[in-house]
Order: sequence, then structure tokens, then C-alpha cells
Amino acid sequence: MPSTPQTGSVVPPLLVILLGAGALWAAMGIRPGMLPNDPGPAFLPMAAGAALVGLGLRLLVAREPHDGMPRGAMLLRVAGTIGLTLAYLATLERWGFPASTFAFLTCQMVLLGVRSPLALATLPAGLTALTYLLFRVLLSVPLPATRIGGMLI
Amino acid sequence: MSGWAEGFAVLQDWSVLAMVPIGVLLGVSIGAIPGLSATVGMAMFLPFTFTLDPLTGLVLLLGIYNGACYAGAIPAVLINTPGTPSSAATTLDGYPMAQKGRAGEALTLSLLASVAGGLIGTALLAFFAPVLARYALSFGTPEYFAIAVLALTIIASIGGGQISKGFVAAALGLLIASIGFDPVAGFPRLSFGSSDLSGGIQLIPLLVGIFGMAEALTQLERAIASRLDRREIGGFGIGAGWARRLLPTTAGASAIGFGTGMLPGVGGDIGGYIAYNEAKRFGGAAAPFGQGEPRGVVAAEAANNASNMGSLVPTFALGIPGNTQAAVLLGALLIAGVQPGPGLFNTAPELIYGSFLGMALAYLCLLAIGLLGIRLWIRVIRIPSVYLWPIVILFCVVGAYAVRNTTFDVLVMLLAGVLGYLMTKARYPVAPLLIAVIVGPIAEENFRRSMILHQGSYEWLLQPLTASILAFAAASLVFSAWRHRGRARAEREMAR
Amino acid sequence: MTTMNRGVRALCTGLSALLATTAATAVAAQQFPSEPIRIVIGFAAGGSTDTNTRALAAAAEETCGTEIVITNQPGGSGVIALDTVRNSDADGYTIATTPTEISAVSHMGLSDITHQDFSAVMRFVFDPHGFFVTPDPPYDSLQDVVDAAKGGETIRVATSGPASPYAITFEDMARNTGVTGQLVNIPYQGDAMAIPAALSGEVDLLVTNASNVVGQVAEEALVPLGVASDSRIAILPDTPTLAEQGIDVTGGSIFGLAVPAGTPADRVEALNSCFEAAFRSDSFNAYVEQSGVNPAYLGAADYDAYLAAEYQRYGELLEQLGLAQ
Repeated sequence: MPSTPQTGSVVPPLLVILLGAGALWAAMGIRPGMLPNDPGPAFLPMAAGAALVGLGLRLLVAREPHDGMPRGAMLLRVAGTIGLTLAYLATLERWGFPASTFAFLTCQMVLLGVRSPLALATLPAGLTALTYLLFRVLLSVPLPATRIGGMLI
Repeated sequence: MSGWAEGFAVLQDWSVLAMVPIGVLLGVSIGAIPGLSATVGMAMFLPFTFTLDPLTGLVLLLGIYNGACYAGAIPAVLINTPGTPSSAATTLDGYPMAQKGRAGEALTLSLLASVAGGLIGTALLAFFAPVLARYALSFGTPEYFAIAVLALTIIASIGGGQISKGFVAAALGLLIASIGFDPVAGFPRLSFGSSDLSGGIQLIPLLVGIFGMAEALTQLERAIASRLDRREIGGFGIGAGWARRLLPTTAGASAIGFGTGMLPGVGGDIGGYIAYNEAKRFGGAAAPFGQGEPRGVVAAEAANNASNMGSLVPTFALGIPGNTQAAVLLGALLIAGVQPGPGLFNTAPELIYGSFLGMALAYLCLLAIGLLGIRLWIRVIRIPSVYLWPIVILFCVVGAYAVRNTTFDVLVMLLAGVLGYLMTKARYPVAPLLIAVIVGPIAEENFRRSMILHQGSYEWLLQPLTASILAFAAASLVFSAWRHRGRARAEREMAR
Repeated sequence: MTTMNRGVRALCTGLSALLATTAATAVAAQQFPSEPIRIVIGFAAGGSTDTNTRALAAAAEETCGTEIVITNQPGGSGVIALDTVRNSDADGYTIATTPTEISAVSHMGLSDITHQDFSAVMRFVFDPHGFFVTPDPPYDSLQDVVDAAKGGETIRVATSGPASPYAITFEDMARNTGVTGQLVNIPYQGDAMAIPAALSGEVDLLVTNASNVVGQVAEEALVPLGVASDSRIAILPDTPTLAEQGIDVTGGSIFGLAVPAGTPADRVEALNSCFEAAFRSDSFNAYVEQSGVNPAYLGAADYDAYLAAEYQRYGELLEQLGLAQ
């Protein structure tokens, strides 16, 4: 299943170094602790940042193999899924759980190539109702509600 | 031993006995859903226990506690997403087993190991709690630091691939753990003025994202609606020969899990990882740990269930909650008019021994429910990818939202998913990141407090118990580096 | 096709259940509360805020006649949960638990949240802070501790961090008795870590709510030296107050409820009356009896005034202690 290993991208190690440097910079601005002998709140992020910079440099030299990034239809599916999930969480509290879940499931299934009208007509609605019952009614997880015609679902 | 007789007597009440399967079923449902934890489930039913007789309420809560701890393994095996943090180590070998068409076997193993670990833990708790509680008290701040360092050294052996990549993942985990109010001074850090970030990154959204969401992204790369991908689930039985080979792992992992669980604040997630690491160390270099080794599943599950019982040692014997679930139990005990403490075994024997027997009963009940249920929930695997993974994403979103009811946590889940996906692509292991997130704050807090307690001197590192644990951690690090080098050389020779 | 059939059947069941719920909601839409009320707790499940609030909420489901949903948003001394409630609709359906910290965090520069962002509903429990030691060391009273400190000994005190109410009470006590430098604040992540530290002797003195250590006190594993309240409390009748020992310090953990500022007055009143009924219910009284918490009711207006006074008091106190930003 894994795609053919590719050698030598410098991108991941560079990102690691960048992140470590950013962490070091951000840790500079942390208020010092007020207890005597406390190494301070900045201690851990400083150590982690320094470690990231050091390890990133080492990996930059080592040039480890990695799997290829997805292309074409694969990339579309992955990026599309991320985008749809983002849209889902953005609409979750605005539209309420039932409406946004229904929209998400429908779009996600279409994205993955489901074309059967029967499946698209029943599955998203049925799954939305089922998960709503499971979480909201049975487990009383407070999910955001949808208002349809003045009624609260 | 008259306590046992009293416990047995009060348990012969139908209203108490009926709570065992109810609690276990509730626990299994809550534990199997990533994002819903045993703590939330128990807290939800706590007010309900106010109206019940004390033992009945306790048995209900303990059923949830035990059921949820086992059920975390189900999604860990089936969709690479631990249902509760305790089952994080179960994904390491459970999911590879399922991918190789041995899902049925992996589920059976996790059930049997959970029940065995739970029963061993219950026995240790019932017979040694007062003695062990005193032992647990001898673990002060410096010892906690040493234990956390020991847990961090697992990173070197668990990563697979190149050790430095495991360390990068760990450093990233420490950075994530730094976000929010710091554990000693209480100052916000790395929050960039955001009130959401100042609350810190919650473990459950991170866990659900880095496992469930990331796996969904990986699987959806190739999901095509027209192709029906029927994955093998394999048989449900485990051979007699395996049973014998798995026994030492079960016993050892249970002991490790119970021992770590006794320390307040050290949970089943850490116990599971430590036991997994020891099983790997003793398993011999040839055992395919990380690629579907049954002993990996057994070690993780036996340890986290035993750890759950270990957490009850300080709860029952000292009145100090060993973990957040135990805090809810403690609340139930207090409300039942029972003051937990060293004398509890004498003042309310029927309640204590009744609970122990109830717990053992809950595990037997879990065995029955589990054996019946495995054939049901394994069907998850048979759902075509194009339906299964959108449902998994839906559950990841709801699970992340359920923790604190904020969409910020859902965003964290999604970003963790993207991070996990990219890390897998670049061949960085994700387990070290998770270990660092869980253990990092314990190491930091106890290191800083040791410095404050000893007025800036490093002498505390030389205290006997602390120094021994740290020496063991160092030896463990050297050992895995040495084994790693050996394996790398073998692989090079194979390539030639 | 069997899966599809099952899906359709499940869908029908689900939809009919949903319709039933909505019909019920539409009828009741006129009165308040007609929808579920959400209480956001700023501390983890199982803690004292959580247990106290859940006990009250269980009774209030009856008296308010609606479902009450509890959410835990732990983090930042309760600030995260307060921020959530502050930013939610001021319609009375989202309630915050008000921790003691609400009077302190803005003075310490940890958040801009104050009591002014909220409209108080009621206070239901006030748990005074107590000072505890193990039976071994030679301290029989707080005076002994102060004398030892004056004699040059370093006294290690377990608290929940320098910004916690426990720490403020103990710093106040140290300042009052003139031993500030000798009492060292050792911060722990909550009582679950601080109590074992006190039992094992890692620290010399423990500051916590009396109700958190009733068990240990009953077993004589911990000895109470004083409580920081105006009068002695029911669960520790033999323990003198700090004032009785000549130390003019009070402090405690406050458990109350509040809604976002701007909530209509009639809704605040409705909440107050149904939660007060819950406070006076048999089931909550039974809880109080068993758990050892100290019930202390204040109505909406009184609690508002109390929070304003506390805000003032903490401001001055933190200034004097050098903890203000």
C-alpha cells in the first residue's frame, strides 16, 4: 500500500528547524515565574525548541527516505476532505448539528464518488438522525441545535 | 476475612446485581466512541447514584469504569483510533493485525487481556491495597520526575525507522504540551493572546485527530465508490500454543500497569506504553512488534485495565483519587456517607468488599458481553470505505466537540489529523508525540517542583529511589539504541 | 440491500423521535425555561466544583422543570469556562459556575474577566480554607508554625499554584504574622497531588478546603490547625478560626452560579427562584450532610454585591502581596 519511497526532500527537516526557531522566539516572551528556584514557565518550550532545531539540522544532513505526497485525484480527495471538515466545523454552531452534519455527509460522499441516488437520499439523513439520537438523546452530549421554521431540533 | 462474607451477603441483592450488566454496557458504549471518556460517562451518572443505595450506585459506576477501559480497544483495533486515551498503545499492534486480516483475533485478544488484567488488578487491590498505598506515598516529587523520564525513554524504542525522527516527534509533543497555563506558576504561555489557546491543547481532540482523522485521510486517498473492498477479518479463536506464550506477557503487563496506576496522576495510557515497551524488550529482536504482534496488543490491554484497578488503591486506602474517574468514584463514596481512608476496610467492609466482588463480577460480565459483541462490532470493517471513513470523521468531530463543547477543539482535532497524515507521509512516528504530550507535563511539573523543594540544589537526583529509576531509564535508552543499531545493520545486509 | 433497508428503517425511527421532541418544544416555547439549560463548569469532572454543581443541578432539573446539561471546560483557573459563558447568548440558558478566582485573575494579569461580565444568580456553598499538618511534627497550633518560622525554619506549604485562592490565603496569613520569607509556596496540580504530599511529609503545611480532607482528619492522618472563616464550621467543630488565634485572615472557595451580563432580569429571577428551591430541596440537603461542604446561600442581588466587594478586597490584597500586575 505505501507508495514508493522517495529520498532526500529537505522540506520536512527545514520545517522542523523553522518550527524550533519559532518556538525559541516565542518562549523569549514568556513571563518569568514568581517562585524562587523555579526554572520557570519558559523552560520546557525553550528545551523543546532547541531540540527541534538540533534534530532538524541532523536530519537535514541525513536525508532520510519518505513516502511520496499524493497527486491528482488522490490529492483532490485528501484536500477536499480537509476542506469539507473545515466547512463542517465552521457551520456546526451556526446551522446546528443536524443541518451541518447532513450537508457534510452528502458532500463528502459525493466527493468520494458515491452517485447512487438512493444512497445519497437516505444515508446522510439516516446517519444524521442516528448520531443525533445516540449523542444528544442517549448520551446527553450538548450538540448545537438547528432551527427549522421556528422549531428547535 | 469476614469482610468478604459481608461483601458477598450484600451483593446477593437483585437490584445490585442488575447494575453490573447495565454499567458494563454503558461503559462499553461510552468507551468505544472516541472522544467520550469514562470520566464523562461516570460524572453523567453520578447524580443518578444519589438516589440509589450506596453499593448499587458504586457497582453501576465501577461497571462503567471497567467497561469503558476495555472498549477503548475496539476502535483502536478496527479504525486505528483509541476509544479512550488508555488504549493508545493498543493501536501500535492492534491495527496492523486488523490490516493483515486478523481483526477477529486482535479483538478476542484485547478482550481476554483486558479481563485478565482487570481480574489480576482487582485481586491485587483487594488483598494489598492498604500496604501498597503506603508504598505509593513513598513516591514523592523527585520519583515522579524519574518515572516520567523512564516513560519518555520509550520513545527511542517505539519509533521504528530513524531514532532522530522519533525524537523530533517527541519534541513537537513537548511543544504542544507547553501551550496554555503552565503547571507550576499558572502563567499562560505560547497562547499568543488567544483565550482558546491559553486553555491548552486537550488530549482527547489531539488523540482523536492524530489517529482517527489522520487514518481517514490516508484511507480516503484510495477510496473509490465503485470498488467494493472486502477486508478479511479472520477467525476469532486464538490457538492453545499462543495462550501459553501470552501468559507471561499478561502477568508482567498487569503488574507493570497496576504499579504505575497506583501513582496518582499516572494513568493507563502511560502504563500501557511502559508495558508495551517491556513486552517488546523481552519479546526478542525477531518479534514483529509494530507490525501486528499479538503480544503487543495483550501487553497494552492487560496493563491499562490493571492500571485502572491500581488507580483505586490510593482512592480506597487514602481517599486520594488516582485518576479523574477515581475522583468521580470518590465523590460517590463521600455522598454515600463513606469517608475513604486507611480505616475504610474496617468501618464499611460490606461496601468495600462488595465493590471488589462487584468489580470481579463486572469483568466476568464484560467477558460475556465482549464475546457476544465482537461479532457485531467487527462488521465495522465490512462497511465500504466510502461510507466508513466519512462516518469515522463524523465521530471524530462529535467526539472532539463533546469534550468541552467548543468548535476550537474540533479545529485542534482536524489540525492534528493533518499533522498526523503528513508525519506518516514523511515517515515520522506519531506515538512519541503522544507520549511526550502525556508525560511531558508530568516531567516538567515535577522537575520544577523538585527544584523549588530543594532550593535550587540538584541533590534530589541522587536520592536512592530517584537515582535507581533514572539509572534504569538510562540503561533502557542504551539498550534500545544498541538493538536499533543491530537491526539497522541486519537490514543493510538484507538489502545487499 | 439489507443494509439499505436497515438504514431506511432507522431513519424513520429517528425522524419520528425528532418530530415528537420538536412538537413538545413548540408548545412550551412561551415560558422560561423551556429549553435545556447548560451549566459550564471551569474544573474537571470529579473535583469539588463539579460534584457540588452536579448535586445542585440534579435537584434543579426537578425545580426548574427542564433538562440541565453539564459541560466541563477545565483550564486556566476556571477562566476558559467563564470566557465561554461570557461570550454566549444572554438568554439565561447558559450558566457559569463562579470560582473564587473570578475576583483575582484580572488583578494578576491572567485574564480580563471580572464579575462585571456576569449577572449573579446565587451563591450556594462557601468552603473556608483550612490549614492542616501531619500528626508527627511538633505543631499544635498555627502559633507554633509561626514561632518555628520566626526561629529561622523553612516551612513548606502545599498550594495549587501561586495564583490559586489557597496561595492567596496563605500568603495573607504569612504577611499578617510577619513570616513571609520563611513560608515557601510549593505548588501542586490540585488537591489530588497536594494531599499525598502532605501525608508523606514532603511539605509541612497543607492549605485546602476542609471538606476535601474530612476522611484524613477523621483518621487522624491530618490535623487541622485553623480555618479561615468568620466562625467555626460544622465539620470541624473543635478547630479554632484564624481570628481566634489572633490572625485576621479569612478566605475560602466560593461556589456560585452566574449568567452573562445583560440577561433579562425576569430570567435571572426565574433561575434564582428555581435554583434556590433546588438548594433547599431534600436531595441537596442530603448531599450537604454527607459531603461536609458548607452551604451558604446568597440571592442574586446579594451575591452581585458580594462579588463586587470580593473583587475590591482581592485587588487590595494582591497589591499588598506583590502579586498584582
